[in-house]
Amino acid sequence: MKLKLHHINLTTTKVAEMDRFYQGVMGQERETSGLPVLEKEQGYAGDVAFTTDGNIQTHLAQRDVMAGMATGQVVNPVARGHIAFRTDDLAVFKKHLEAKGVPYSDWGNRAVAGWHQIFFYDPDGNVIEVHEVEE
Amino acid sequence: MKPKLHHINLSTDKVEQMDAFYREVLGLTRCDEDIPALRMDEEVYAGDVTFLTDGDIHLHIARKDVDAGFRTGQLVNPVLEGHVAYRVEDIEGFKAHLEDQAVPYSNWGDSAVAGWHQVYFYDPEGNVIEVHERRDAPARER
Repeated sequence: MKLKLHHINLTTTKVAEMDRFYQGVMGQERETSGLPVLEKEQGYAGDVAFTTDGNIQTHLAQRDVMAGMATGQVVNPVARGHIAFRTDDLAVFKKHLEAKGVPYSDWGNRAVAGWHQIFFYDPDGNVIEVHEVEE
Repeated sequence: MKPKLHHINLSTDKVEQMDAFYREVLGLTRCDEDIPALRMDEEVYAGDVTFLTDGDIHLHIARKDVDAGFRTGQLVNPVLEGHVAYRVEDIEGFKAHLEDQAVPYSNWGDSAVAGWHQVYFYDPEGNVIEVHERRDAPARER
């Protein structure tokens, strides 16, 4: 159940400009492997550019303040961005959150084919993602 | 000299609560290696900070300090809304690169952290980015 940081998601109205900045200024490269396969028919259809420093990915996602309304999910990860960790056992992690009294939005795999994602808030309202790659 | 992610900084008025959350809920652990030697200079930044890690990338939970920019005269305040921090081996080369790219930056030097030379700047959305070089032999030690 140990969590490892997987990506930082920055939401933006300027995906192309952000993408140029993170490649041109920050020296990141286009990520081509291990990418989420976005499901664009189920509530979020924004553009996302994927870059990496070679270890941790940066996801530059079109801001969509209505994604929560469109999906019925309380936590909208593409309103103000999020920090994403990967686990190898999301079921156990969900039980852990319940034991800690931390409510979460279970997006299942509706946004990303093959990733089961949940989102919740830290005590300051920052959005945290935890996901497991489905076999 | 590609910048590599080193830490995420979350600036907060609830350091203890955030620290407990990231340890108890996310399972991060306290770390004492490769953490900044904060000078705790009240004329710069003297907030309390806890240092956590997932084993590779660090998370800094820092006391929010709205006035740090005014107090220091720096245009970018990294402890207002937090920042994402990358490490380079050659900060002077990276500063020249930023100048080539016409990206203005706030040069904190090692005023906040002994042995780390830090610059801060904005990405096109106004997110605060830190790039620093760790210098094992700091130029001046307090």
